[in-house]
Amino acid sequence: MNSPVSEVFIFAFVVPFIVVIIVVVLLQRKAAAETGRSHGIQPSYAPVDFPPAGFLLRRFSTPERAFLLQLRSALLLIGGTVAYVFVILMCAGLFPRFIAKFGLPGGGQLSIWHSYLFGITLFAGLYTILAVILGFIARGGIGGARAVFLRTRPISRRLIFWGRIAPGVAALLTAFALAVGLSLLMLVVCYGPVFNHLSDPASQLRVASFDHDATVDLAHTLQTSACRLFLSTATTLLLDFSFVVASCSLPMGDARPRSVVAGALILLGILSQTFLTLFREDAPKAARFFFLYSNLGPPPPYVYAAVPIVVSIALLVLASFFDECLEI
Amino acid sequence: MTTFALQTHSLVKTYGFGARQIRAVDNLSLNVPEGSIYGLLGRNSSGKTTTIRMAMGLARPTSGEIKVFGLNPARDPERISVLRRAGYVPEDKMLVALSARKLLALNRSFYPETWSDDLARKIVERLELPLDTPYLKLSMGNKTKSALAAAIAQRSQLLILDEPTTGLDPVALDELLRLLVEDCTSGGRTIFLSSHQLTEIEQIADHIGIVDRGRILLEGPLDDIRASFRRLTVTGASLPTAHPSILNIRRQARATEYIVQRSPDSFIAELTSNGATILASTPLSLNEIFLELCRTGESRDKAAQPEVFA
Repeated sequence: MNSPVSEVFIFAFVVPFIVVIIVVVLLQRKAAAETGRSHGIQPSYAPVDFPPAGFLLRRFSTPERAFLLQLRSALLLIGGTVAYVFVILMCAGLFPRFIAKFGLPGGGQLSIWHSYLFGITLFAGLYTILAVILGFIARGGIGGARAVFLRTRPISRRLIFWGRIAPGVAALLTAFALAVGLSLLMLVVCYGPVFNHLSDPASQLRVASFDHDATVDLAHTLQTSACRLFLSTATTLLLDFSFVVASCSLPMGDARPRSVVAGALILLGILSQTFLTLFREDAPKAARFFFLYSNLGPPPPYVYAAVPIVVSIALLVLASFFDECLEI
Repeated sequence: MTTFALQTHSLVKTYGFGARQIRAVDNLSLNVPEGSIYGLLGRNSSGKTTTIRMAMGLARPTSGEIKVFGLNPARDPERISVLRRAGYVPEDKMLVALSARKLLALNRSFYPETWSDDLARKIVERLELPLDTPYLKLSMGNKTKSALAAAIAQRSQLLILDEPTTGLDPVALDELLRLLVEDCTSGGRTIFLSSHQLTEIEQIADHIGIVDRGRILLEGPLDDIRASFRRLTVTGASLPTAHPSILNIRRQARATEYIVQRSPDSFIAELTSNGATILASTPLSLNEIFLELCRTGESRDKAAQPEVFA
């Protein structure tokens, strides 16, 4: 556990996990203390007034607002956590130890830019895992025992579905956009606008004089547009999220076979994506079709970015249709 | 004219396919009059919960129809109109909030027009509901009380309770029955509850339906049902073995015991005119009626099955 990758992993996942455990323990202690104080005293019921409708929720009925407001705090918590993880992962390439290990040898500002881009590509698998987890969380409240309560309140099934899925998509993409913005800001604040100095011939010569691998990395760094990485990651996140939601919404009768089939489909989807990402030379058309570019390289045909977006929308609409037929 | 809060007609619900198909509800026709306390009685896996789930739009009928206030609960937007007028306590008393207090606050916001804070306070006090105990630490009885408090305080026109007495102690059970009768039937409101706790149902229900293996065995006002069932102990020669009134016959050492299902007085008159002597004529409790119907249904099913010879 001495490599910079391990440090990033610890910062991104272990630290928030520990924070969550501490918060849960503190909340439980507080609840236990309150229960202890009120032991033997019958607590009285006092009504809590419903918060007034804000600008965004004014068009919804009171039960619909109750449902949407209930989601707000969960959305902030989950969106905040995902944003934190994204920021850490995307800033990984800016850590000095990371630059020393993965930067271009003798490249100066070129080295920093390469380390930053390489850092983004290195954690592509973790972005997928985050999208899958968020997909499960968003879909989780629509099936399951908790859904019995929601489905027996006077709100439409469509609102229950989109009320969880749309904020899930928004949280995922907003967290990613926030992470992109913050990581670029961090880059500029810590190292200056390194991307303005990529054509420095002295640095390029220094790197090229090392070995063949360094020359190849240099070529990739100079070819790579940050837009390729960011757009590809965003569309892949959307595709992964939608695929999980659609798989979990399969209209099969019993919960157990549904979970098994959904789990198998998701595993197959992740394996296919991993194969296309790692061995893109073996299936270049498929990787291009789904706009999978989590590596350094020349600018892709950007028109294909529309494909995963359209497929994702189709999957979510299909999931919504499945949800109408779903019995819980 | 009687209007019905809930009606089913030839309702069928199946699960699974082929040889594994289960017929959870089988050609069920129910009529729950508005303003009644209707007890749906049945053994385990008799189709009570499936019927209730279809009434709440959680499951779709395979065939037949179910109407709540004349509306289809399986399809939006009719479903939403049904849910505005129906309160529900599911069989699985899973809480969706961190505590009973939060559950009440949440449910209050879903029913701002009908929710009664006074009634919520009354239920909390009478059932001695711990409002702030975390959900994970609540006993089964307290989870049931929380779900009941939330459903009753929303003051719906129809209250659907699936096994509402799960885990309740005798004192809480007594309070619940009082609350249901005192506070939930005013203004023509209806209670539809399923249970296999017959003693409690008998205390409050005015209509009952008995289901077994997805089929309705008996339905009607409880008083009429009680009046139509009788246990007769009879002696005499050439006693009948088959008659439309006879549900069950048991031969004893010196007498024959008839369980009579309908028109007991005319059956008694018929027996006496044929020279039989009526030694005893006693009414049946709801529990006895239930047992007799289920046993008879079971033995008829066994008799109807084709024998298989090896």
